[in-house]
Amino acid sequence: MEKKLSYEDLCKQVEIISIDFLVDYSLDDPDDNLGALSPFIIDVDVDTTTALIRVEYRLKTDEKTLWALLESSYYKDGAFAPNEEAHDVLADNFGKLFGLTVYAINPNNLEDKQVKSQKELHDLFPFYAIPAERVLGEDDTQNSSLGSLISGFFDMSEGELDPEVAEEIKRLRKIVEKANNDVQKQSDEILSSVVNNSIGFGYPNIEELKLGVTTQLNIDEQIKNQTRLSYISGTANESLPSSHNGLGYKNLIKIEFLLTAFAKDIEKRGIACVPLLFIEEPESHMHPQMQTAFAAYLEKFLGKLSTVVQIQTFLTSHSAHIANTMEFAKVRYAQKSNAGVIYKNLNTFAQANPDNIDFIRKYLTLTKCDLFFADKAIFIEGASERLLLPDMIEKCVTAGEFGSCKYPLSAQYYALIEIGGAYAHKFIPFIEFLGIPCLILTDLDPVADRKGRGGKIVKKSVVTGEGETTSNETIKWWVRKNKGLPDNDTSKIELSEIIAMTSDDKTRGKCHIEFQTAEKGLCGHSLEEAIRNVNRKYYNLSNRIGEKKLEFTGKSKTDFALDLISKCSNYSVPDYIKSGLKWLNDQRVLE
Amino acid sequence: MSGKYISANYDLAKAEADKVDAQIVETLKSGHSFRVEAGAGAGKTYSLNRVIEWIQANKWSDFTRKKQNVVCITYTNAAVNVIAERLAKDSFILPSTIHAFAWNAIRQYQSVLIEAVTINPDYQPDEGDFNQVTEVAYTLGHRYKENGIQYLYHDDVLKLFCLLLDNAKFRRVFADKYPLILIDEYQDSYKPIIDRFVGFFIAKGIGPQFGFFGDAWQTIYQSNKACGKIEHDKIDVIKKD
Repeated sequence: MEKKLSYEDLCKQVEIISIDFLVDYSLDDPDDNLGALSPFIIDVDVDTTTALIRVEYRLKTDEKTLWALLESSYYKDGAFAPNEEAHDVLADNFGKLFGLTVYAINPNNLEDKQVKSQKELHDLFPFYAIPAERVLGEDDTQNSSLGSLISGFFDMSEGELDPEVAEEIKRLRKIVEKANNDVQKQSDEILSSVVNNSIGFGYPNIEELKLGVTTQLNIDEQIKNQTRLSYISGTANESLPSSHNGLGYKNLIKIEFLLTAFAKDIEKRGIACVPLLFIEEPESHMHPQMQTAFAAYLEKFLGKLSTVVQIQTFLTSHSAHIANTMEFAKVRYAQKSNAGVIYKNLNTFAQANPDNIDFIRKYLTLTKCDLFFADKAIFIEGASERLLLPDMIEKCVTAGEFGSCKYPLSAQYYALIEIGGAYAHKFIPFIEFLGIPCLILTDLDPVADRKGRGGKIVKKSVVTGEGETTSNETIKWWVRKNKGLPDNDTSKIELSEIIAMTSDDKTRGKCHIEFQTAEKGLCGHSLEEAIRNVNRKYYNLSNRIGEKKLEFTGKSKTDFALDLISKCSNYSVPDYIKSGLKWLNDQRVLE
Repeated sequence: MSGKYISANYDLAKAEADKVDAQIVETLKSGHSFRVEAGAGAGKTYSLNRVIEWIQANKWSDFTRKKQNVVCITYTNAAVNVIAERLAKDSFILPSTIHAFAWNAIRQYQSVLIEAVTINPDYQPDEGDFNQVTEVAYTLGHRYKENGIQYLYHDDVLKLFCLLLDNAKFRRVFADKYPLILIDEYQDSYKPIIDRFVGFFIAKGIGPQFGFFGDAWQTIYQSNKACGKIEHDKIDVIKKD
């Protein structure tokens, strides 16, 4: 048979999944123990203090075995003809065909590498996973972390015991030992007499031989296997089984037990390793406050452990409450794209944008916004937009503004972020970094030079027609960027220039800005004015008014918005909002 | 001679021996390197075993937590087996011949080994192909080359061990891995190695703690660069008669 592909070429064609670990170490302090890392240090250069470890998941079978496994299902009479089972054969033997290979690589010469065992890797990175699909409560024996924790206490030598519980455990052991002996002795006596008396067929008789009975009783086993958590309600002094408690607490308690078991294991393993802890979505069933508290608790708990050894923790979460609690340096943002999942390191952003980062973090924490988990973002000025936008989006859908797309904006996951024009621009670099399409709905804020107190010339808010420039920092930032001017440039930006911006001018990468535009001959300078302008009838405004009449004089913007929704449900949506929403609707999430 | 007399004599000798063993344990605790000098029949092997038992009982968690090993180097494979029998299955104490120990310590530095055997004519094999060396191995103690793998002669391993001991980073990793090295019949050890142990570690008061057990008068392999008596201010001497 002709060989069309060599085994070596086949190996090259089967893509290798590989992961590199870089471990920094120090040689200076002779008491700094290298431990499980030393098998991976294969260079003798004193200036190199990083170990490179590569783990590959690859074709592992040799040519002969591969052939033996696959020939019968892929070849018939010497010709390549995969039969129906071919795919199944491949799937069934996957574990035999592919496997992990661990390499230590010389960082100074990548060609110099040697195979290490999986055990050596595991010694270096002992890991522990708390999966999202955790069985809650203590009802299952297999997953009984409480049972295993208690067994641990029974089996540990005195020196290994945590001093905080050592006294109690010793007392418990003593009681159990005594009970074991007493019960054993008594039950043996009673059972023996029962047996002797009940077996009455005369042989062996009492004079000759006495029958003895011993039963192996192990109370400690009972304690290990039969201990169940119960919950004692504070006031009623009633003890309830674990299953009667809420899932939120159960989840928290379960995680606590798993973490304790992990801590015990790490203590045993010693200090010469890099323990890894994986926690998958700890937030399930927890209410928001508990989620925030949990994140803080976890850090504290791990901090307590890390006096002995540094534990690197990987926590995955869909909770804005947990994500916002974390320092940016610790967040990795995973984003789906057509090319696969992209990981973004927020630490790199934090280091490149030291000026903005404090503000962004504080803002995210205070407002508890779910920017990290949204597909699209809308920056808005305030309460009116927050109340009206979902309704306006619905209106656009009904009016067919979004064309015939399958999932219009109303069915997409967008986050509303209430941040005014004074600050929105500080967020733009962050949004660009995350790569989320973002619509900024802001106010034109026209201003002109006017005489203030004492004859001093100051910038005052005016109607659009009288405006000379804008006081909106975000619009200024935008125009400067478009012109290629530095952020701190102070040259005047003409209002006419802003009004003349085209749709293209209003788009920068994945961000788009919109502000009030002229409709029916007038241009309001806030959302309320724009709404009054396009719904003149409802607001009793004639068609011959000037811009001054558009002014919103009410006290509460919230009342304005609620009044509109409830009393004028068929109101018209201002153009600038419509075009902004249309732009956002058309942005693709996956690229 | 009455039985009673023998017994009294035995007790006396045992008390004396126990005193010396206690002294060895005290020295072990102090962290100083030491040399136990014991003439023929003085119970040197007995002492060595007592020391190993003490270490196994008292140092287990300390050393295993740091993934460290105590090495006990003996002269023959037979002696290795005798000690191995006394150890727990997963013990951190590794009985080993000097060759096996040296090879385990150096085998992961393949780039250094390949360079050494390629450049230095001392390591040129008499048999084998002319392929470029891509791996250095040590199995049977014959020096030959096959498919780019160069197999080492017993003494090559010791020489390469010395070569690596001259490197500071190797010594750092080595000292980290082996905090305590016991050597039985030390007087027959390969001198260049002992010189480096003394020069790089003992004299400077850094690195592993060494325990030498033997009898300087019994050096048998003098022709083969045996070190004989090891003397240094920083080595405590314990005499056992």
